[in-house]
Order: sequence, then C-alpha cells, then structure tokens
Amino acid sequence: MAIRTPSRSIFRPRRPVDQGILNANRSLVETINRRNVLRGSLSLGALTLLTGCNVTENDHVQSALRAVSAWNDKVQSVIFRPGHLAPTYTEADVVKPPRFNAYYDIEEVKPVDGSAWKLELSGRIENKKPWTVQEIYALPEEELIIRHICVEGWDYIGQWSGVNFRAFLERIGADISAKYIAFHCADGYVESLDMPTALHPQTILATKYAKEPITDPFGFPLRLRTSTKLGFKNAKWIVAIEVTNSFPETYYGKEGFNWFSGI
Amino acid sequence: MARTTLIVLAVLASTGLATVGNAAAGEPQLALAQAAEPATSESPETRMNRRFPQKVRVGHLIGLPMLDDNDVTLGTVQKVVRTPEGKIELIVDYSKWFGWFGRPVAVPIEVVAILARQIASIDMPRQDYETAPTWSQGKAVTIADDEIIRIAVTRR
Repeated sequence: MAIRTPSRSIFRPRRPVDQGILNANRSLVETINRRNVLRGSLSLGALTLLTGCNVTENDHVQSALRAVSAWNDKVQSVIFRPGHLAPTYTEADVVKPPRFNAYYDIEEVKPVDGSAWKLELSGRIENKKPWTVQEIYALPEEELIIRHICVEGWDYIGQWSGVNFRAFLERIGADISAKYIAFHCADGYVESLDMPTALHPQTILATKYAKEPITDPFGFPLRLRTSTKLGFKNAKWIVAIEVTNSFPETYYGKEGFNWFSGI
Repeated sequence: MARTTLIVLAVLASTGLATVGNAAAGEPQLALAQAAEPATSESPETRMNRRFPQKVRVGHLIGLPMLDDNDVTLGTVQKVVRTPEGKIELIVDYSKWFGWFGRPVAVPIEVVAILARQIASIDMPRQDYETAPTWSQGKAVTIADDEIIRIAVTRR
C-alpha cells in the first residue's frame, strides 16, 4: 500500500524553527525549572506563528508567554461558575497523610502555638473581633472530599472539614460585595481570592484533615480549602483575613504565577 | 530566564518528553541530577523527627514506588517489617532494570519520607541500594496492614 504523505498544513510555518538555540544552550536544558515551565503555556511552534514575534529575542518571547498566560487566567475567571460544584469522592479515596508542600523545606516549618493563636480580621468587616482556636473549632463544620491539584502536576484526594467560608463571612459581617479576600499566614505567605470563589459552596476554612485536627506541616490551626483553585491558592497557617477592594499582592504573584489559577 | 524557558518548550515540543522533577518554589533553578547531601552527625532518628512524622497505615505503603533524588523509581514497597531490635524497615524490590531482576532490600523508615502516593528515599541514595545486602525474613516480623506507624513527610 502506498504511503500517503500528509498534506502540508496551512498552519505550518513557512520557515523551520532555528534549532541552533538548542545546541548552543544544551547545558541550560539540564537545569530545567519545572515550575517555570508550567507557568508558560505557549509552545515554540505556536510562538513562531505570532506576527512580529522573533523567538531569538528574549523580550519578545517573555512578552508572548506572559500575554498568553494572562489570557488563560482571564478566561478562567470569566468562565467560572459560582454554583457549579467540583467532583467529590469517598473516604476510601482519601490519602493519609496528605502531601506536604510550601515555599521552603519541611525542616523549616515553624509550628504555630495554638494556645496563643488568634485569627485577626481587617478591612470591610463589621465585627473585627479576633477569633481563638476554640471559637473557630466550635463553628458548624462541613466536610469536603475533593481533589487537590498542584501547579507542579501532582494531585491527591483529601478530606477536609471546617466552617463554610461564606457562612463565616456573613457571621462576621463582611462586605461580600467587595472584590477580594486576602489571607496572611504565619510564615509570611500571602494569598488572595476573588470574592466569587470565596463564596463558592465548596470553600471552607479547614481545621481538620481526615476527621482529625490538621497537623503542623499542613496548616495548623487554620487553612483555606477551595475546590476550584490550584493548590498554592489554599493558604496554610492563616493568622489574618482581610476583605478589601484593593488587589492584594500575593507571594506567588510576585514570582510570576497567575493569580486566578482556577481548575 | 526567557531563553531557558524557550529552550525547554522547544525540547518538549520536539521530543514529547514529559517534564521531570519538581522545582522548589521561589528558587530560580534546580538541577535534575542533584547530588545527595553529605552525611551529617545527626542520627537518622533525629533527621526523621525534624520532618514532622505523620501517622500512616502500613497497608497504604504497600505497593508505593520508592523514588531516588531524581524521581526515578528504585522499586516498590513489598512489605513493612519490624526487626528484633524494634526497628521498622520497608522491604523494597530494588531493580535498576525497569522492574526486572529485582531483589529485596531493607530500607529503614528513618531515611524515607512520604509524598502522598510515593515515597522519597531522601537519606539513602541509589548507590546504597546497589550495595545493600539482599534482604531475607530471618527473625523480622511482618507488620500487619492495619497497624499505624509514623513516616516523615517531605516535598519535591
């Protein structure tokens, strides 16, 4: 049988991509930063199709990558459905213990003293009274068995319990028409959510994992748990919550990560 | 940085290779072939305790892959035993031939850390598996699946 040669695609570049860059920088390939790769969503082939994009110029490449990544993030925020629930799972699927991650190694985790801890509230909130561990633990609990997805590419099924975040915001008289919620953490980490995600039915302030109090590496005494965001958006060791209309800069936002980061 | 990103994307587009390894957040780069940390004066127990050991059901460990520093699988956990001295060891079917021609190697619980559904051999490098004696049951007692032990955690 004769082998048919595929017809030339109208999207194929007229000139092949210069592979010389690979040969000239082979040693750099061995120091791939996987997290940086996952930030960019543009393939080399697609880059060459962009009008005026010279792939040998760093500024052009960086601008194109950032533009596409920002576009992806914007699309995610537009198509977000506030009432649509993420899939849930059974207890048999739950991984125990969960997987640890932070912007530092496990040995550098500094446990929070629960007896001295208070949740501070600020911003567009009527009742800014700080909350103790006991008061948080006394709130009605909801349980989520959902998939945790990390930007690094791994995932697991986890089981978290805690107060529904919308219910908590209403309890403290937060302005739920505000744009953002900022989370300040004991280790200096800062994250923030858009208000629609904060009000999503599957967003909780988690105090338990697999029905037991969250342990030190996983955010004791309080962490955020969403079902619609990548893992790094789920702040651990929360010490303060702010409701605001001013965009809160985040730790990974400064590293170039997308902010909305929906899944 | 952009040039590096460009090169990486070109390699992925042309070879279809999946990315490997997890970079530490906030660190500009992480070498794929990272050398093992030099031995310290700390005991294995001390190092394990600094990694916030968590409760784990023994049955959950059976079948999990044991990874080296490059996230390459050394083998899978076949059983968990307690030695006559009271030490806990993971028995791994170590193989360097894609799972073929493996042999059981005892890995002390103190030198590993769990990554949810994988285990990292963080204080026992690949070369130690190569030179380790082939394990045999002897007087070691297999720990039942329902028993709860402690295992360190780490990140990649």
